Amino acid sequence: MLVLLVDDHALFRSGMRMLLSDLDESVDFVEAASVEEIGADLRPDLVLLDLNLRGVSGAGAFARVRELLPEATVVALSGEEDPVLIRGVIEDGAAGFIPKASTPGVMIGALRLVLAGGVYLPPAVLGAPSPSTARAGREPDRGDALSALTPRQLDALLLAVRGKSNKRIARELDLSEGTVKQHLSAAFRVLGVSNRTEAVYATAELGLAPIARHGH
Amino acid sequence: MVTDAPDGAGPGGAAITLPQSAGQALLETVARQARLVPVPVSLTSLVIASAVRDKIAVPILLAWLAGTIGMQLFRAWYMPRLAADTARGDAERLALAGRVSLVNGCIHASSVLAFPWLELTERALVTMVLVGLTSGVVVSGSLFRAFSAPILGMLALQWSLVSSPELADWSRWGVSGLIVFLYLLLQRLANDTGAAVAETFTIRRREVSLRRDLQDLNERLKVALEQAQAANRAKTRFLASASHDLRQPLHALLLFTAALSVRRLDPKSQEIAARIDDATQALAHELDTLLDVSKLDAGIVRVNRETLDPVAVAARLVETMGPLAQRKGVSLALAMGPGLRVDTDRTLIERVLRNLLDNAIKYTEQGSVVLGGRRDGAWVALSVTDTGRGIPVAEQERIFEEFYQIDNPERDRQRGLGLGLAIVRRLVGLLGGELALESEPGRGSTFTLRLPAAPDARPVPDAPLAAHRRTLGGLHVLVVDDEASVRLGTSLLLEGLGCRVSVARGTDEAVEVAARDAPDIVLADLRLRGDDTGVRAVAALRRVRPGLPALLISGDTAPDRLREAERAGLALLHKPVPADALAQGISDALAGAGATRAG
Repeated sequence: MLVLLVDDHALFRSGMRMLLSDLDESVDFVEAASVEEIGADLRPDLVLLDLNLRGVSGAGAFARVRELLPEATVVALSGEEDPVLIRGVIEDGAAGFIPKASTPGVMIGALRLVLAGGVYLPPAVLGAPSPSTARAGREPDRGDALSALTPRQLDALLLAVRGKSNKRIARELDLSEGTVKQHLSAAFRVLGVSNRTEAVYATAELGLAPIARHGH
Repeated sequence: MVTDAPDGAGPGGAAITLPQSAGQALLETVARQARLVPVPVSLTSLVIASAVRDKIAVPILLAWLAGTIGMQLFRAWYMPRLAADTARGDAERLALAGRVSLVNGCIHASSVLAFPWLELTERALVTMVLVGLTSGVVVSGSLFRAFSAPILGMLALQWSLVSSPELADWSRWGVSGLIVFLYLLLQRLANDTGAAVAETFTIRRREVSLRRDLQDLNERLKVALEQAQAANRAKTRFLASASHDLRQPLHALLLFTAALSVRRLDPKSQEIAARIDDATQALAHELDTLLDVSKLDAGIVRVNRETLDPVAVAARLVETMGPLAQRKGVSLALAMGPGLRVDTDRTLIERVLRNLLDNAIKYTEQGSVVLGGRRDGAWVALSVTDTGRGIPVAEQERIFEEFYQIDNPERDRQRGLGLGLAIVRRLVGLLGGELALESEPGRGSTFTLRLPAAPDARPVPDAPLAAHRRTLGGLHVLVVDDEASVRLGTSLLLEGLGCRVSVARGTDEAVEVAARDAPDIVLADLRLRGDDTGVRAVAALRRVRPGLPALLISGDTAPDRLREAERAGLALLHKPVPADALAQGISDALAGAGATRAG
């Protein structure tokens, strides 16, 4: 697995390099100090993107990375832990958000989850009920309900929350786009959510990772 | 009279012009007058000259006319120049003006020399005209004498000397005397006028300088205010960028610590890694706090309002902060009824309450901390009450200042930076709330945060609690606890759930209360004062009223205590008990008792 870290702080990059190599020996690590520095032929599976870069940063940097690397899963890193900022990047397609100020234990857990293809969001933003659950009037028991999903539906859901387009999901799972849409709407219904952003929050809350299923 | 200066008129602006001195003012008055009088005075001279043209030789008459009119033209030209020539001193110029007036007076007076050749009516005409002229000069103050003395002196002299066949001598002397009297009178008036002008001038000058001072002061205040604001902005910017830059290496340090912690280390190295971890996290926490303050000061913290039930926020806080309180041996309780609604920011309100709770736990050595909430008219009042050391009145303002800590002169870092309440103060302002503090040294403190209640039009769905509320309505609950604050907290919570509450401190009092007013259920603290226990209280009550539903509540998790409750067959709730858990517990206990009785 190739992980790209985009961060303008050299010390932070070297810290991440050490930690990732200890967490998972199969990880290959490349770094870039800015979005402009990302090599043209680089094809990372996972991008860890600092949102506070010099030059292009925040939503701009995020959009640029998605454009450069449409196949990669992008997880945002930031020193700021602003719920509005977090919701914004998730809406833009991020597959998670890791606060840089996380304690070492939390950082390790979050990276493990992300490397396994799961979604991490800080507990502070998960504590707030999402608009959909407020509408529904109660928290659906998602953990149990998920077992009702077919493996295909679950696969489609996990790819969607990682920011993949329906077209990409269709290609990866060898399905038609129409079928992908059906799978996703079934999965959203089970989670009690109405769109991808809410699905990301719900998935993060469940700590769901497709480890067993995909065997990465 | 001072009139308001137009807005924006600076010091010394066009709005204010005033002669430099009283002398200058007089010179300017005389100059104005000198420009006005040539025409009327010359005409008057012509009238006199034509009246006496048969009596006086024409060359003399023409010379006199030339002198009079020439003098008027000279004055009209010279006096304004003299007034404008401010380079010369007042005294010197006034002396010059006096000399001009004297010559002018003498020229006018010379007409009186013609008296012997004039008839009585002509003398009277000349006298009338000259007296008129002198009385007009009264306004010239100190210059009056130089002009009027020659004229009136000559008139008095000639009236007394030149006889007339048509007038008795004593009448002429009478006229002469009257002229002298008139002179004295006018001189007196001139002196008074001069003094009045000088005084008016002084007063005006004082007013003007006062106004200039005020404008000046205003200007300086504005400048000082701008400087202070700029300094404050600079401080905020500095703090923000300093803490931001300091956080960069800190984030790296957190990663290195994490990397270290996943490696296999010998026990000694493990201990060192753990210490580094502690230090790093303490540093991170304090930097975050600093950054919070600077962000709040910079006005970049956004308020994301939503209608929320503070119980949800409070329950989570009590849950996460419970261990901290437990380590200190302080009980932490939630006393908040359901149905409260506030329009506020979830993250920010949580920070306010967390800081208040943190502070309360920090300064409470024994007893309890209660997080309460109730509707108070158009407000929702959230309060943090502790049984801690309390805050002396003199300190109650200062504790909201940055870095202020009571009784911490050594700045023991274990107690943090002293920024918690400073942040609370800023956040409460940002949220549009009010914060009140009531405290008594040795007894404890209550911080009350009041926020505007949200209209009930948008209720947050809360179905399970609403159901409890219906079933618990009107229920009579007896609360047995030896801690006054817990009794109060639990009472508030139960009343919020629609219950009627009686309280007792221990078993004896509980039996007494129950005898007067039979309860539907009893809620007893497991550990009461002395060797009294909740189990004993329930047993005593059940002797009086068999099958009385009962619940035990406990803050301690010691196994033998738990076994004690289990042996007694009583359900045990752990402190802090959130409202819905309490409601559920009561419902279950009532249902259980009902089932037992039914079976």
